[in-house]
Amino acid sequence: MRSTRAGIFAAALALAAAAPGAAYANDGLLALSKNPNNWAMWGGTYDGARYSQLSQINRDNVRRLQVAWTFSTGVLRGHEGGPLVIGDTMYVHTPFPNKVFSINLADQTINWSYVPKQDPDTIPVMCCDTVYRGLAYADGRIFLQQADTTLVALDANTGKVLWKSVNGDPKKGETNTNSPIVIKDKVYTGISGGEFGVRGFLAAYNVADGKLAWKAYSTGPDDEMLIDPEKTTEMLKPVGKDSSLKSWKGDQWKIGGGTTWGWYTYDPELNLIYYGTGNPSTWNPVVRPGDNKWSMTIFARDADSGMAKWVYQMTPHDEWDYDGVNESILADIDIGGSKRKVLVHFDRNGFGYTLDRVTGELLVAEKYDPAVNWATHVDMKTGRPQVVAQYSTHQQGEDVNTKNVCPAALGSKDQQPAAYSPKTGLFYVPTNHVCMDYEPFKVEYVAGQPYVGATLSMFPAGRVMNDGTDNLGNFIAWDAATGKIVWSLPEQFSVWSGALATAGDVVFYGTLDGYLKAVDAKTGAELWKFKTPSGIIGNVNTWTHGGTQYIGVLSGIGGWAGIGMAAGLEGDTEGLGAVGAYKALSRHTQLGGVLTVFALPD
Amino acid sequence: MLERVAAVLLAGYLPLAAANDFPTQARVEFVLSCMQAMGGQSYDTLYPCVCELDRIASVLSYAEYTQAETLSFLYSTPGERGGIFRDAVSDARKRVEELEALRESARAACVVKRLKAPGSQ
Repeated sequence: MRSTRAGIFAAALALAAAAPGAAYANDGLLALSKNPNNWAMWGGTYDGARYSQLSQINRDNVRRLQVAWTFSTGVLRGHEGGPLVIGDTMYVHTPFPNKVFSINLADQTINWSYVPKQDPDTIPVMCCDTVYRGLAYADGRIFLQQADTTLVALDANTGKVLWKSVNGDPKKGETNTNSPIVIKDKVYTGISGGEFGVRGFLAAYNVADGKLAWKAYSTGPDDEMLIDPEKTTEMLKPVGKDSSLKSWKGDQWKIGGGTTWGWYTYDPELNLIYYGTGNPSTWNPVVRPGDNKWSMTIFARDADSGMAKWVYQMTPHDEWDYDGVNESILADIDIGGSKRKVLVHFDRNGFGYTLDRVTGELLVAEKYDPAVNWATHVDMKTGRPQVVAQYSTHQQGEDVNTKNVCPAALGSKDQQPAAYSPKTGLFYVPTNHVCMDYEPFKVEYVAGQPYVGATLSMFPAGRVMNDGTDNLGNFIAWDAATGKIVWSLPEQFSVWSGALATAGDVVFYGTLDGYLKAVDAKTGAELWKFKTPSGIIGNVNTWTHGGTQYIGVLSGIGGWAGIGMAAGLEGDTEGLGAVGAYKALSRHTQLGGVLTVFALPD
Repeated sequence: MLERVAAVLLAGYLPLAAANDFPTQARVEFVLSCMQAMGGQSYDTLYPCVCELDRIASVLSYAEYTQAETLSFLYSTPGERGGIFRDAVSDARKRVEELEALRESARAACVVKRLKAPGSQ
């Protein structure tokens, strides 16, 4: 066995996990995530802050960043998420077919790779490209959530399959794109397929053997949602009996959507896991009267039992496809002179929410894009958005084209996660600045068939705001205590990459035209940029190896052309460094998306 | 002479003073992938590719080129995500088509004849 830091960690964790009744996976992973030399989970840490304590790369020297190494994944299509780093080892994932690579950071050789066999019939039922947002690590294991819903545990040292569990059925439109997360002895995952009438859920599987521990649906009877009518609260009040059933016509909740394809965060002190649910099915609101609970909802659940502690529905009776799946970042901030344990959530509906994460109390709800017009404001007593009739696709009705609604269906922000710097107290948010015309139409549900029921057309928000601008995105800094934009950088294209904030007072994000950018955390001033091989929809991550801080990001957007030159240069370099059994694994022979890694020169 | 300049300008071939700002990385990337597409590295592929790039860079600034190129990538992205660009950039199709037309005219103006093996066509 190689005597690497990762190896030793893994061995220690494996021993710990073997002890009966021990919950060391949590402690081990918690310790790994708190060590800024690692990037141990999607958000860096359980709070999803995407903040690193590392400061070797800082505001003054970031302009000297240069490429340290690159790795081509061999897969086309959009590359979301980012690599994990545990000690001396990096784990890289890809879009469908969801390959996994273990890379030795000492020399960038590949330790192992895992290529699952998946039915290509999964591809057509994935609504929005064949993306995958990344792996989870714990206990010497890598957890891979395949597109075809298979959840796989791999031995982190060898890549050998330890167990597989089937989480859904692609024939019914159920697929997965989310990154799983591990808490204690369980691994949590969700489901995609709101556009196919899939009923969303959060599922917890045992880390040890992959057996389902519990499943909590987003809609339906209380017991199936793991909701206690008396104890589960919304806006500090018990939700009451049959809170979901009463909010749907008939048994529409069975195909009600509320899928769970976003990011999950966790508070170890409160032992609560936080996530959001997606749109109700169909996109035609006229045929599904009611609040459609609990679609479009932030859930806070007990990580052990799955019981819901509190819920908050951002968009009751969605009429615009404003999925509520975006990440909930956990932070402790001053509000009105007192330190509050909050959760900050930038919803697709264009409101930035600050809630007390202990109780679910709504503290702040303000627009984080001035273009947002579908609601005037959120009523702070009821928590309900005050919908503007002119932009209500329901009130306008079926086969009526509701015009100039802001934001568009993709939201003021989609899944690309924001970052939070406790140093500046600011949240850094990649956004869309796009509006739409929306026309609902009648559609019948057929399992495994698209269940959309609306046609859309989209345009720059500047056309509605009438301010002469045509940028489709902004990168903003947000004050979650007051609900105000601190600064806003216009971007020609929407910003679909996850942000990173660091103790070096630098914030990183990627753009669709392929630039990785570094800006000043206080002022937003651009400090550095680099053109990667393709557009960036991945998350920027950072780690150290051998005392050097690295910044890494995947590039690669949809379609053949979107991979840039990575394919074009392939032929000539085949054979370079390709030896023996690892020929197929040589980084020189991988086509497709590219991980570009940066460091300061020696 | 002036007439000739005007004619060339209309044809879109003459260098405009404002452009020619492609950075080294972009030039190398363009030429290498162009050579690859033409069958590999040789002087027969180097010269037409350099010529093609010079012509494009003389018409478009690097920022304009990058935007048009990005649009052409996003155009092929499936579903709602590609839709945002097919829809939201009012002249997206026009810009993608203009870039393609510029490339084609540059290619046509940059042909380097290749020696043929006896008997080949």
